[in-house]
Amino acid sequence: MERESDLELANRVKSMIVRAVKLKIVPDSIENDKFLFGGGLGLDSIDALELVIALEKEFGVRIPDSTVGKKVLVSVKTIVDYIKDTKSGKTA
Amino acid sequence: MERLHNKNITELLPHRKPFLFIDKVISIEGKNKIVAEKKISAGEDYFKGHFPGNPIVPGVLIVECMAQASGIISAYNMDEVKSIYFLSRISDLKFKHPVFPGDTLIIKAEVIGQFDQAIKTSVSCEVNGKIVAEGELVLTKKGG
Repeated sequence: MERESDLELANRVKSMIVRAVKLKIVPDSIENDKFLFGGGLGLDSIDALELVIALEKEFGVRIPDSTVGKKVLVSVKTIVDYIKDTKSGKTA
Repeated sequence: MERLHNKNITELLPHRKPFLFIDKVISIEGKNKIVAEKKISAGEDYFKGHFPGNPIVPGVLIVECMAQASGIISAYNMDEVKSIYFLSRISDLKFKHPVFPGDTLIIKAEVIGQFDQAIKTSVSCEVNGKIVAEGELVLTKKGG
């Protein structure tokens, strides 16, 4: 069940990314470990802002500052981990 | 920080004529919302060409009004005044009605997100209580 839950969460995060930054790709094509910025998906700093807004709106998860943001907005996996940690109270 | 509506607009924005598109700040709510005003003079030079015999305010200048209001509230939100912000993204912008010489634009901007050096605002312009344009903008602080 835990694995299915993680998979579902990852799929929701992928859909959020595609929607928030208006990517012209299908969410499933984003690999969990693929870098979102730079040479990965090619997102930029404005896209980071869109992701921060979308994370709060769609998951109720707030990224308090750019230091945390730069650790969280790395890949689908790091975002999923942050959502899980935040929801379980591991992250302030 | 001092109340912005008591300040001269040139103390709040780095822009100068002929590219200053806010006359005054009407109100500030919290650190996120601003209402500002711009009166459109019939003597504006651009009316000669936009359009001859049929003067209408260019949509891009309405965007500029909203961007400058967003610039003021962005700097205020970041506890700075008169920082230079670049317009970085325009989203879902709609022009609903034309704006004519003599109209007074009421420009509203609200900060809806901020990360690192970028700020997103929800913006609108009204004339006589009717929304003439609305959308979202992202501004990025110079050097950010």
